[in-house]
Amino acid sequence: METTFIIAALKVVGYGLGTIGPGIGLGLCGYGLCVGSARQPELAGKLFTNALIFGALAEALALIGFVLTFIF
Amino acid sequence: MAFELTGNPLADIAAPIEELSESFNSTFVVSFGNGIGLTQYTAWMILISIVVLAVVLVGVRKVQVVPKGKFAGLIDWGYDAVCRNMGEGAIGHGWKKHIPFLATLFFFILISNIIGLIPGAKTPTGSLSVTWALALISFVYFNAYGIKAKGGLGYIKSIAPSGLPKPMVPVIWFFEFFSLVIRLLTLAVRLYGNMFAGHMILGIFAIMTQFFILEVAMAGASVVVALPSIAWALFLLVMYALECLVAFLQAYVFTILSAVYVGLATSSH
Repeated sequence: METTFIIAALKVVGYGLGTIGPGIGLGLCGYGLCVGSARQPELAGKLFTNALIFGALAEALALIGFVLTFIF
Repeated sequence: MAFELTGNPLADIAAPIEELSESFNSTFVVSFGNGIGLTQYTAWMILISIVVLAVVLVGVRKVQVVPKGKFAGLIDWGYDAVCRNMGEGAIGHGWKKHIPFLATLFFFILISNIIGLIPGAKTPTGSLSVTWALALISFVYFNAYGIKAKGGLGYIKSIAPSGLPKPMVPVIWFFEFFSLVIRLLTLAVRLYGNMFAGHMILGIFAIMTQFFILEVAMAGASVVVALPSIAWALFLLVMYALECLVAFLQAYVFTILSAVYVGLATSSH
């Protein structure tokens, strides 16, 4: 019981560490979107689509970590 | 839910949380034996399909150039968002033939997310099996249209962007191919993770709200002990509002990413 508990806890800690990178990435993505659409409001729609795409790319890493938590 | 007050709060809430996480497993509503039957998620999905069909049919009952009534206007607005934003914005040339697919995806995911927010209802998108199926449909769809647009070999070549120096092509191709395959996983897990985690948080906050009140009602503690319940109920309301936003956002993100992938697969460069 003790070992399984430690492994489960380590999984959660590992996933938590794994979200740092994507978190920074998503933050930068949102920053770029806000700054870009503040400077050029007429491009906001196009920028939002692009921000979603790159947000999805950054988020993929966190999602892989989420899946690995379940698999192992 | 079964509360047993032992004096240790962490031990007290362990049982309801266990019960909460078990309520997310697919259990049979109607079982025909041998593991064949209707699970709660399938039952809700059938119901939601009927609701989607009803919503759309009522919305287009009298098709007019200028839609009359709030409901028809709402449907028209949603459809227009799919057309303008996702179709024209993300796919570009030749977007019209992809609209039926994208609109179906959008309305199905949106309505199942919103129905899942009703207390007692289960959202099919909170089950990994359903989101895998949706992601697989989207994955097969954009690959099929890519192959149709460029031919089999042309599509495989076009995974790597053109204009690279020759020795770099295999390396970039490999990475691009990996990111193409991983789209299947990310589409499925993004929707599932957001919906599942959201409902889990709502459930845990509800348990916490109930816990402090029960502490007073059952163990006879002073009324002051029940005060944290007010804070937890407020958190619950705030999270519920956030989940309403997430329900819309995830439907939007899933659909627009499908549209972007179709656009990437079919565009000529």
